[in-house]
This record gives sequence, C-alpha cells and structure tokens, in this order.
Amino acid sequence: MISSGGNLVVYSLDTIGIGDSTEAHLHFVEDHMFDSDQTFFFEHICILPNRYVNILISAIHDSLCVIFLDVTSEVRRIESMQQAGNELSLCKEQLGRLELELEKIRKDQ
Amino acid sequence: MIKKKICMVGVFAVGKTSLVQRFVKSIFSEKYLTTVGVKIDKKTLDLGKHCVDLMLWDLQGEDDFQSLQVSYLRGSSGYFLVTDGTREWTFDKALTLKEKVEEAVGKLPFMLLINKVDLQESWEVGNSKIETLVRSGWSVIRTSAKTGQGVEEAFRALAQKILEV
Repeated sequence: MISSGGNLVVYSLDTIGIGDSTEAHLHFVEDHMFDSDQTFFFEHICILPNRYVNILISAIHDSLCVIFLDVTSEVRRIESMQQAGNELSLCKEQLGRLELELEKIRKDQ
Repeated sequence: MIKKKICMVGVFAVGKTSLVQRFVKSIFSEKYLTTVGVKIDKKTLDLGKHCVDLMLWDLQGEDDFQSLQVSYLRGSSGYFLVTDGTREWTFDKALTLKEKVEEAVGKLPFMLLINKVDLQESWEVGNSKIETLVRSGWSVIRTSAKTGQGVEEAFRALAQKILEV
C-alpha cells in the first residue's frame, strides 16, 4: 500500500502497525492460510497488548488477501458492559451460596 | 519448529486467562478482567525430543450473553476445558462445551483443568465426579493459576499428547 501510494490514514490502515513485522501479525493464522480456497473471518482478536482486530482472510486468484480492521474502541465498549454483567452474575452466584448456607443453619437450629 | 494451536475453553471467570498468563509470563492478578473475543499468546516449550511453539488461543468464556464461537477453534491441535472447582456448575457446563467443540472440529486431544485448587475450603466439585471422568479416559489436572500448581504440568502434558497423535 505504501509503495503504491495508498493513503493509509484515510483508510485507517495506519492503526494496524505498518512498521511491525508481518510475521508478528500473521504467525498465528498460518494454518488457515494454507487452506487458501476458503474465506475466514475472525472477530475481536487481541494480537498485541491493547490492540484488537477483526481479520478477514480470503483467496483472490492465486494469492491471499488478509484484511485487518482495528476494532479496539468497539471492544473497549463491549468489555465494560461484559465486565459489569459477569461481575453481577458472580455476585448472584455468591448470594445463592450464602442463602443456601443460611437455610442450612436455620434448619440446624 | 513444530507449531501447535491450543484453545482455552470454559465459561466466564474460571481462570482461562490467568492460566495462560501464569504459564506464559509467570504472573497472576487477583483482579477479574473479562476477555472479549480471543487473546493470542505464544510460548515455546522444550519437550526433550522436540521444541514446540504453542499458540495459545484464550477464548472468551461463555456467559449469559455470549456462547462459544466455534470458528476460533479451527486449526486447533488440542484444547483445555477449564472449570472452576469452587463453582460446580462450571464443571457440568464443561461437559456440554466438549460436545460443542467436537461437533465443530471433531475429536482432538484435550484435558480438563479444575482450576482454583488453592481455594480448597470453598471446593464444590466432588471427587466422585472427577473419578468417574478419569475412569472413562479423561485427563484431569487440578490447577491453580494463583500458586502455579499444576499449570506447567498441564501444558506440557497436553503438548505431549498432541505430538503423540
């Protein structure tokens, strides 16, 4: 993209770390890339600390197209809701256990 | 270098991320932080005859709003079913998750990890349940991401199991 004069900022592609080694991004999808006749979509992948991407791997003629879409801000939004929801579920579980314990004590008395 | 993908599967807050962090970085935090999507880590393991690069896919736990996304399992060589020994239902749920995994990617080497063994006083999973699974051929390891008990052993054992396939 850079050598072809592509404007990375306009397409938000600068956020995926152009200076990073390709290997750093792709090492974990190597197995999938061998299945070049299929298209894969992976959502919310954390490949580097604090950076989440959606990844699309698709065969185009004899080569593969790999698209990274930075979704860090979207994940942050989901994360805060999910964190609250799961903490609430854990509290409910704890409350359930306490109620059972209390009932047991009452019966013993 | 042999490269193998291992997935961490289980419901929310059983300690999947903590186990990976303990294994890869030898760290542990008491603070619960939910995982969205999947976190990928890598660790090279020397198994004597072979060195193996483990790609660890730490999958978001199942909760009330989100179920296991089986697309993440593609290309896996094996997986851990992670449960929380202080929450019995997570153990029962692991059996359902195993069926889901097998439906998606077929039978693969796996191990059942019963995590939080450091909290023995709050333990809910009975030995009889565990023994039943062991008798039927399951590999079960009690782990603690907090103390590190059983963690390295589990990853080594699964890697070995995968290489033997």
